Amino acid sequence: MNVRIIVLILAGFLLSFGACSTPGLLSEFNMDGFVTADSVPGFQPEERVVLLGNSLFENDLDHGWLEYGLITGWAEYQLTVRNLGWSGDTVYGESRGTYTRPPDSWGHLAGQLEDAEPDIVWIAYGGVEMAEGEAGLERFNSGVNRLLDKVQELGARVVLISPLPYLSRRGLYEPEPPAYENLDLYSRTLSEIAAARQIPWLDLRTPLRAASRELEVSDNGIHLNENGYIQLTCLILAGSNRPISPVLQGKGGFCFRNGDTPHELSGNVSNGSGTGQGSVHAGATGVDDSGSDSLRSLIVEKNRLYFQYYRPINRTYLTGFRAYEQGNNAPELEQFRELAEELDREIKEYLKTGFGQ
Amino acid sequence: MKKGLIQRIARRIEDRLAFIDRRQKSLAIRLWGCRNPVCWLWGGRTTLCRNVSPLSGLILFLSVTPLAAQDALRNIPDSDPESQIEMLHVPEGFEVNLFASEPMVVKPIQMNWDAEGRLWVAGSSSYPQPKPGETPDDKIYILEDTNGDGVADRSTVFADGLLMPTGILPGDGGVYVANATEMIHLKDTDGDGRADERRIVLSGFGTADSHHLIHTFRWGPDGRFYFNQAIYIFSHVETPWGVRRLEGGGTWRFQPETLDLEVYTRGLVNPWGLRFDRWGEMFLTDGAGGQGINYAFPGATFTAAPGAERTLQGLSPGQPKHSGLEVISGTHFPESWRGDWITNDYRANRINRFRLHEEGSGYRSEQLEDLLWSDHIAFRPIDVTVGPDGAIYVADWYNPIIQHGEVDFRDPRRDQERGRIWRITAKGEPGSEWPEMKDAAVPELFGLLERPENLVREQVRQLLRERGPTVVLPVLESWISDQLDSDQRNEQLLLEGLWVYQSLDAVSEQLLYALLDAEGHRVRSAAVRVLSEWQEELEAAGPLLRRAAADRHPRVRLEAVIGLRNLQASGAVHAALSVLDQPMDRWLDFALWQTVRELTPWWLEEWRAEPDSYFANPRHASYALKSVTDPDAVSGLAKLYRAGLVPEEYVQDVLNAFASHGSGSDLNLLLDLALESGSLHASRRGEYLTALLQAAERRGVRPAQNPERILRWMDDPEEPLRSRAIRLAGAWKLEGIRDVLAELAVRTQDDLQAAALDALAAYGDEETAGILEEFSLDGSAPDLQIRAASRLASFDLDRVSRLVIPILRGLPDEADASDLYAAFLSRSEGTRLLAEVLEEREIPAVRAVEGRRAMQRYLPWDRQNDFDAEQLKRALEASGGVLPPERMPQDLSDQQVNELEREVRTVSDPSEGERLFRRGDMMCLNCHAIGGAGGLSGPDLSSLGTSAPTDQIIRAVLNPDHSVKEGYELTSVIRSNGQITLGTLIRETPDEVVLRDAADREVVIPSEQVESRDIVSGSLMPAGLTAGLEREEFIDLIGYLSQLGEPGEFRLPSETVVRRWRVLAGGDPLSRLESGEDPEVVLESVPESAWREAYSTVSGSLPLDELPQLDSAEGPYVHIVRFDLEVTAEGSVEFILPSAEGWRVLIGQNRAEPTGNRISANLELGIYPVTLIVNQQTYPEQSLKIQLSDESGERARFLSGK
Repeated sequence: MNVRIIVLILAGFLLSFGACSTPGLLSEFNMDGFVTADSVPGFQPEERVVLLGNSLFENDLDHGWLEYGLITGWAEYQLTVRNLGWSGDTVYGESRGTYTRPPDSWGHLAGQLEDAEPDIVWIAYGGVEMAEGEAGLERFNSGVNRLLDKVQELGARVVLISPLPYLSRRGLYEPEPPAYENLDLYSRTLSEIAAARQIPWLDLRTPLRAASRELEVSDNGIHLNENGYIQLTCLILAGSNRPISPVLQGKGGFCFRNGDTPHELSGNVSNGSGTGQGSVHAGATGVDDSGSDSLRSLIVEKNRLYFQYYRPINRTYLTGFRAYEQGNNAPELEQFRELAEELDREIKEYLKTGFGQ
Repeated sequence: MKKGLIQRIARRIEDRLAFIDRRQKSLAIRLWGCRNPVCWLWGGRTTLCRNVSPLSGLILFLSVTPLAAQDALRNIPDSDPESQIEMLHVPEGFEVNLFASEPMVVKPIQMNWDAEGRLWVAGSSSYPQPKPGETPDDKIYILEDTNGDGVADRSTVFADGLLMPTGILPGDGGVYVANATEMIHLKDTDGDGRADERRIVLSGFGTADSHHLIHTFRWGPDGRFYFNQAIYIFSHVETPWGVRRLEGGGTWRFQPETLDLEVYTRGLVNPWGLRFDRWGEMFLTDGAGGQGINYAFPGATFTAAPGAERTLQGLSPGQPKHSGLEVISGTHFPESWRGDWITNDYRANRINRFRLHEEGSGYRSEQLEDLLWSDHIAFRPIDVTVGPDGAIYVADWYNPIIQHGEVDFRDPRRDQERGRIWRITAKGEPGSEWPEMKDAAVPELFGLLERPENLVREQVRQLLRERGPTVVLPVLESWISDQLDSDQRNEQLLLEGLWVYQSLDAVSEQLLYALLDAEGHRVRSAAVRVLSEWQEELEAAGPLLRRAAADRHPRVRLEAVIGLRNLQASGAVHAALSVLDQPMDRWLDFALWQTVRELTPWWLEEWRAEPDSYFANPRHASYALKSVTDPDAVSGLAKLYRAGLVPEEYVQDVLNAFASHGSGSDLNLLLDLALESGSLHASRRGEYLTALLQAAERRGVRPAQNPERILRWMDDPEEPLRSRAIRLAGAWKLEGIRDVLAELAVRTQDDLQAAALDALAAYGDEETAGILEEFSLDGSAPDLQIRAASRLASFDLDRVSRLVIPILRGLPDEADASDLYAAFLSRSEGTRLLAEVLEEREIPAVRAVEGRRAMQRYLPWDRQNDFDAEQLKRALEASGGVLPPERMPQDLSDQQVNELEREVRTVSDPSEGERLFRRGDMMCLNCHAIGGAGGLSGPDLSSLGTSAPTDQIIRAVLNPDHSVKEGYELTSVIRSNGQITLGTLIRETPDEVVLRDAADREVVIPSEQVESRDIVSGSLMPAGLTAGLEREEFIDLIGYLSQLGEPGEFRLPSETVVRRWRVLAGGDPLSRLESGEDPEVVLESVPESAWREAYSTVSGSLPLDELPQLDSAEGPYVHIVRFDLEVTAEGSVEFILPSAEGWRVLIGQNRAEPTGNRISANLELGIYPVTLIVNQQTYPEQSLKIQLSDESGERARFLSGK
């Protein structure tokens, strides 16, 4: 199906979607400070982007939207992405510990990061830590700085990302869970660190809060669902003035760019040194085919393989303190990694030849 | 395009694998544990694997390769279900049939029924480890018996493509499934019988061990969702209410509607079975522990719980490992079986049965005849459930080897394609009828809550929960009020109604209040648990909980104590402590301790404000204050103790509190009291000094006033008192007595000398270093030299390293310098320092050999071969430190192990092996128990043979570091002074780390001395223990170990027998007996130290020829043995001996008269030492075996353990 036709259908659909009652879908996007990788650090060809953080990244493993957005939006750079998100994780790597130590949790985090050989690290922490409130702020601050030092030591660049806001759906957990009282406190800490260290800072709070009022971007209020990742990806691409090709469409939602429709949305991208323009459309139901599924299935499969390499089942026996029992099977983990790399090549191949066809 | 792409990926993956294969061929050979490419291909590649059946693969494997590291393949039984069923045995009156097998169901793990009576099964072929290049494709099966003939005739694959689904639970319009890191919900929205919607419910569960993944999903009666995880699983789950972490074993409680997730119980090594009884009490079994069924109330904390200060025991310590758990209900099984609990001993291929009896606020378990037993070693029952027809369904994982770390993940014997569901029925009894309920109206559903089958009520509750409050509540209210108005109130039914309210998140005060007054204590206690959950909604919650704490039944009081911790209000602690006014038991004591601690913020400050009047009485005050870790609380205790107000049974706890938290002035009190003569305190003098010593050694605190008063005992004739006084003098660094201590060190020996030297070392200054150095030099007695030098090492290692050469050179050959080596080897820098000095100078060969032995003994595994150790080894060898060849070589090749394994199979004598195992110098029982009796620092070995292949056992004995069981991991603590302590972690509190060391001693290390604390590889069991055995003996020993738990004489019998004994071994009583005194008179004054431990054989008897023989007035050859009998319910207790002749018995102090070979006595609650005097001339048997009669099993047990 011709993409242009889909877009027209979508535009028509949006008109009847009820979004008209608000001043425009996602119109409250405040893109101030919504800085993207393109505007400051830029990408170099063949760079490796590592997504490090909590469930904000981990939950996208099954969808691959963020990665899809990065590699298609910056297709000419032939990027490679590694997603090291881990549920419940903090800047101290608290979810990454094992039964034995050393290494401690932080040691595991640092080791995994190093092993992923990053050129650029997108860091999304704070969503777990903020439950500690004022009392935990100092520890958070020093943890973030230590992590940033570590990244610097590896010679990589950083993009800092704010925690997700509460993605309230009507009727779900009102008032919002108490941890969100500290959302701004922790985000401010991150933004201050970003400013002090001159690191790009991606503030998700306002745009995603706005999105969550109109769209089903979350099933439980705290995590993005697939549509949520589509919208987030769109935001990043639009904010970076990158192509969204041809339309992001998946379970429960879609997003595309069309600068001419009545529901055009736009926002400014700024990091103090330059601005960009972006506009997105978003919706809550699907269309037939976006052309993204094949590429995303490669991404998802690659993620699955890499996951079994860096966070394998039976870690205790393969590489942990009972490696004397099954350590002889540890080379299988290398095989998982190599298979993931094989798919990296496949993905690049696809970007050159298959994408958009 | 999509299809083409996927094919392309598949092809690429194949190519890639082929490439990796070529490159890693040598690696892969190791990978699959064999050297032949055919077998490697068979084991490693899906494509080929699918075309070749495992059996033919195996034949190939056998025919072309030598057996490398493989156990006997004879162990692979016939996999035909027809032949398997021949080997499944059930008691008379029951029968087994095959309900389903592959391909209808493959590798079943958990199974659960739905409201239509269909069996949902999670199966995993990818277990235990996904293979590179394969996409895991594990499945959810729905099995149906549509024609009611007891055999499944339909199997639907509801979902596939899963990764190790270890938990499954139908509900909320679909099914919840454990899928590695996630819990997902799968739904069929278009009615085609296959899931088409998938939602991640929770994620962040750990996967560091596939056999510990989240598992056993179960709806509780309260409509909440319970599930387990095990020891190596570290979970970090983000919920709207915060991140929930559990690093270790435990049970989760979850509410899907709100995403409320909490840790419900902690601990157990591999909590596996999880069931609720009719009254909502939860019970757990442990697939890696060994304490039978565990009673699990909110907050219950069991063995292996991370950081636990205190844990609860299971209901029958010494049991094998158990998976799954079910309670028999309904009408199909005979009445005498209903209410019995069944759980799988999957290692021994059998299903155990237990009966739980109420005991105080908890339970006691009695083992009954097995439900099923088999010699088919691939029969691996791992889940068990009563079905809609009342029959018992058993999920048979079907595997010749157990899916665990000891056996290679890629071992070709691992079955990956079979699985069976067996069905056990009572012959000739009609099956229960399964009611239509899916579309039934709400009132009809309420009617079904009267049904006796647990499964029916469970399903009905679940349906009501799903229909939701709007539909159900209005009907429920009127139904309940009818029930309440009824003349014959059915409390059990009302309780079901209460749970329906709870599961709908609604509150019914009227119903709750009615049930809080129920006749039945189990209904009352269940109501209290609901009350505690609803307390935010109820104004009267506080008073009601207070009232419940004074209930006439202990279980109700237990629930009240648990509920009160959530009240978090001033006064809650008083209500909780009021349970002390009635009899206590171990569960109540645990719960009260936990509650008092959790409520600390709500009482400690208030108590500080009015310490004398805050608590109702001294008992309450003592209990509360000894439960918390607060220095002020110790001062409060000191005051009470001084006034004589601390109840006798709390004294030890109070002294421990002094030791752990007491200030100088509190300690002063202990010294004061120790000095009082002629009072009760005089008899406790030793305990006081011990507490003072602990306070000094752990925290460096000493009595504030005139500590030198201790000196008056420096010459006390009572040696233990004297040695403690000497140690205290040093620990307190009393001035002006160094010369006294020095003189003592020269003048005395053994313990006193050690005390004097320890005391000197405690000063740790230049002056005492000089004294110790002087003692170390030639001229002192060799013992003193070595002892003094090793003390000096504790604070001045450099200095000792300058002395070590002259010492080692000057010692006479027969001296023993291992302590000196130990002093070096147990310090972080010690090995290096020792190596440096020994590299430069030679020492006598005898010393060098001693050094090599000390390295084996004192260096932990992970340091045996490090750089420093290698240097030291070389240096010792240069001095002639070459170890003589072992009688039994310990470093064997794979082939040699295989040869041994064959000999074990063909020529070993397991009975001889058992004798060796029991021999004192082998020290096996020092650390390992059989049937719960024996040492605790290593695992109980009762079912070793059923879990570990023989080659594995050989390797484990030769190289213990390569075979550490869960829960026995080594903790290494390095203190700030460099001293390293290795042991298994017993508990860790904010104040101290407590380890069990290789000598099975508890070592307490104060937190402030801990420099680092790590869990490290290796075993407490030293290598080389069997080096002194002849090869034949080694083979016999392994023969015995490999038979443990197998059918035959080395499987624990199910009757209750005495397993732990104490044997009178000599000393003063012996001479008194010899001089003609009546044994009964002599026994009254036998000190504890005259007894030594002894344990029964596997079969439960104590061989007399292993016992010391005592002469007495009655003639020669008398054995005096003792065991402990615990009476848990008053009444007649009877036990049985093998013979009526040749023995006399004392229960406590009283002689009991036997009737034939039986003794019965009416006994009150308590623990009784039972002493037997056996005259070997008239006693006709070779061994003693004492069995509890069947009826007595309900009210008494023999104490076991170390």
